[in-house]
Amino acid sequence: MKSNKDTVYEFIQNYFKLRVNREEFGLSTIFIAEQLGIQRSNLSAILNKLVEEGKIEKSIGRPVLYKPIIGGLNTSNETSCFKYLIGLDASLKNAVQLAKAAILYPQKSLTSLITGAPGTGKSYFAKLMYEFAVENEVLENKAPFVKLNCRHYIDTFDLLHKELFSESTYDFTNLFDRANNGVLFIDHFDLLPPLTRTQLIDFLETKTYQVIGTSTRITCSCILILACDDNAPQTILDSFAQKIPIRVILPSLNRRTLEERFQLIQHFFKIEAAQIGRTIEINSELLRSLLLYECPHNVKQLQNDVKIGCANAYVRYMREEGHFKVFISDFESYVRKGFLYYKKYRDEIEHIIPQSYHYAFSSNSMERSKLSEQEHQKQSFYDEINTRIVELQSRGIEQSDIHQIISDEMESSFSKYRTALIKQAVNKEQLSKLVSPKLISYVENFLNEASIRYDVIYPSSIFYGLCLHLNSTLNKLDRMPLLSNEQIMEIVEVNKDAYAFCLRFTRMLENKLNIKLPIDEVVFITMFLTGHLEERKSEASSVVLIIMHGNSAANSIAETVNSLVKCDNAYAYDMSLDKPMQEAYEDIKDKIELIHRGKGIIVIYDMGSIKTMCENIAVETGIEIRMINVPITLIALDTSRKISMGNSMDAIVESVRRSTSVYIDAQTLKNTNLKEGEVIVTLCNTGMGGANQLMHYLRKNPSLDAIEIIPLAQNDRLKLEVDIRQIQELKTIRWLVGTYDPNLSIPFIPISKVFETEVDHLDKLFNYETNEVDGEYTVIYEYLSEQLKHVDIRKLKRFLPNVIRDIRREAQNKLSRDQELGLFIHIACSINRILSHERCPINLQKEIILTKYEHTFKAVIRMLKPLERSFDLIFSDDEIANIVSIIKQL
Amino acid sequence: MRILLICASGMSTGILMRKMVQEASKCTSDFEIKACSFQDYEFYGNDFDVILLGPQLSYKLKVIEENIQIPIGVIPGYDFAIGNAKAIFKLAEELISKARGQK
Repeated sequence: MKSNKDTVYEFIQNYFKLRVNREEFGLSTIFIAEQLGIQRSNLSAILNKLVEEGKIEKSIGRPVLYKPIIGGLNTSNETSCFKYLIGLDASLKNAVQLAKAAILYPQKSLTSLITGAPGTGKSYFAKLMYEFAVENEVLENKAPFVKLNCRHYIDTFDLLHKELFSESTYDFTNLFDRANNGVLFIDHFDLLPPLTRTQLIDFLETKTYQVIGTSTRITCSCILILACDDNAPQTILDSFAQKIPIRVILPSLNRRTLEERFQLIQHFFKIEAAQIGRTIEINSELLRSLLLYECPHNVKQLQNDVKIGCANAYVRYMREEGHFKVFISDFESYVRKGFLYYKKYRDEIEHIIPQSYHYAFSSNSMERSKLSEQEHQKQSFYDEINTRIVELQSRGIEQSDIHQIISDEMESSFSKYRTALIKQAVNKEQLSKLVSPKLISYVENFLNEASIRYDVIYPSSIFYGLCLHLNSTLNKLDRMPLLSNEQIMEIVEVNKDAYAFCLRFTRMLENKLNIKLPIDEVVFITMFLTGHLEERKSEASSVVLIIMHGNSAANSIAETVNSLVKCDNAYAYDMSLDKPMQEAYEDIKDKIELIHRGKGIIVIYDMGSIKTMCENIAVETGIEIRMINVPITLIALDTSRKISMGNSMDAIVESVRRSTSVYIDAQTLKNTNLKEGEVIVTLCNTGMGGANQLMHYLRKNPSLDAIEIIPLAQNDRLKLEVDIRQIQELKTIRWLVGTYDPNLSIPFIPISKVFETEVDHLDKLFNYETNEVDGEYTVIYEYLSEQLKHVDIRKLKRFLPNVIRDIRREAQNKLSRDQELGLFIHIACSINRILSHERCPINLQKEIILTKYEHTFKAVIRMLKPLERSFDLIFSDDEIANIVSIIKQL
Repeated sequence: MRILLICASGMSTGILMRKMVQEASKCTSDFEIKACSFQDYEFYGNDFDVILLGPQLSYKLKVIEENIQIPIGVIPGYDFAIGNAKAIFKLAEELISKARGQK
């Protein structure tokens, strides 16, 4: 029969399962009592019990409300010692099932092998298996649990060998004897020297071991559990895996759900709370960072980091009573970075950790309290700063430091505020619907004057932003914004002149609109005028990801790099050879999404398949990825293969060197090719509309039609720079066209000039006749235009170099520079001949070439297409056969 | 001096030939210059003092050398591409005198 407790718990759970609105914070005691017909006094006791057991949580304040803990611990009917294991029903389900099977195996428990990344909890898991064995009477109550960490013996393996296999005497007991009828847990067994390993395998097979120096074999009945990191050498793993029936794989932290991670964090905070003996309070922002930061050493690191944070906070509160608060600044800086990933997991996070809650952990519970509505909503720009000051003061930070921190933070929250404002309006027309025309004209005049005075052209965004800001100020003048005197002083001090200028403006506004503006407003407007110059701060950056085949190469390299450079921007993925492609693909994708810091990923990889994967990932995720191939594995493979064919050492080195240069040349070539494309970028002040129109206008000129034109918006300077840089990575930007020059050291043509020029002459304006000719080719084109009467050299310039480039690629770089030049002239002459209606002599080998080199033949036809289109001609099969025979050197 | 220019189909060397004839007309000595395609060179080959290959056909050098016992060379790419007649004459002369020296 169900107990009342179960009924209540079930009721609460079901209630929340059915609710769509998860924001609702919980059920009151009265409500539950009515629904279930249980006496309130009884119910209270039951509810408290459930809270204590960590099944439900209660709110702070009156009336007390209850709701189930998301993903609560005991959702299953697990009753064994595994029941407290977080992830029991999800990421660790399989592991637990295997572990139970190993222990409960009839007659004799099976040996198990636990693998997982460092810090995934292998030792903890082994201990749980032991407890499970005791619980199920497989082992006696006081059975030994002997742990051997091979890493501790790294310089003294002799000793270790003796510890294991020496004969027990009256003052020495070997490990097997100590673990007899219990559990022997050997961690990092992959580090063992071969001899010890062999003996261990011997034990696996026979359950007996040979005592050193004797022929005695001793039987030991212990449950053996082995563990090693997942990057242990594959060969060692394999040799053991054959002998070990059970292999438990523990997932790394980033393969586990956020909810599990949340539970882990809760758990660790509770432990800290118990140890410190106080209730620990944290805000949702910190929880979110903890939930998201990259934690390469998994659960263990997570626990340590929580511990470090609490320890730092403890120093502060040691002698004080009252709230024990832990802030993000108490944690290592990398924890803070967790917040960078917030965007990606927003929905999930909002669900687990809603904003504007405080969390309090005590040794056995977590309480979550909502900030009062009022508290939450009035978090305006000024309030935020003042709250921060109080917060900083309470953290015992020096006044002068507070000053610095606040002014930095003010800058950043100000820029956030402004960006938010800007997003509200796109053009003046829209603006006039929100803001009175009078105000618009005041602001316009003000900015014009400021432009002249400071010789700065203010982006329209400043204009819109200022209009909107003033508008909102005028509409709620009753609310007095507050800046501390110090803040005001500092801003005034730094921007004296601008401040005076803005003061005049606000005086004018006060007169015209018959209002009174606080001094903070003047300061605020001053920041509007001066702030935009420093808008470029951004935490976004590129990172490098090293991907290598094998089990540990990439990680070692990344580790080395990070420890040498200390920029913490190198990441690694080791692509185990036995990992199915699809899995590796998903892994790499996850990794890339996780480490992405907004400015793309540079992947350094060792062999082919990774390239395709990354290309696909780039498409799938929209993250920019650039690749550098360092074919180290390929070269080693090549060398090894050649050695096995029995060539002499020098011959091998020579030929490997040669083929190496091929890999590398092919690559540099490819990179420069990418650069060869030229584009024109058209800009528009407000959005993309103007830029698009401009593009269409340019396209009317036939010469420009073939050039790639990219329209971009210019109103967001930061975004523009990012876009431009992205384009520049792939192509050369020949010209920028727009209303005003963004000063990006790219040649600029004002839009006025474009419209003054007739469409037919636009190509001259953009200088397209001479641009792609480097000195050398000028003479060649002169020679050709002199000799080839039928060929339009301008078209030739535009298309032929690309064709030669394609051919070079098709010939896999086997053509010399001279041959390419020869081919260049050859094709130019062919065009001339076709245009003059002369016939091409028959190529006698045509049929042979066609059948033997069909692929190249088709490729050449494809490559010549641009020439055929622009010159309106067709290359005969004989012409193509000629080119193929040059490429293939027939 | 008789020079035979060979390229894939006799066109690119054709325009070079024109350039060279122009240049030769400035000199007093006699020149005979002809351009032909690789397929046809055996018809003419033996009537010339020197054979010059278009750079795109440099890989044919060995084959032709084995076939015909007259001096033969490859025109450097850039000279070929800009029709540098002077340099090419010089190359032809060098090849001929080198061949004489060997005999």
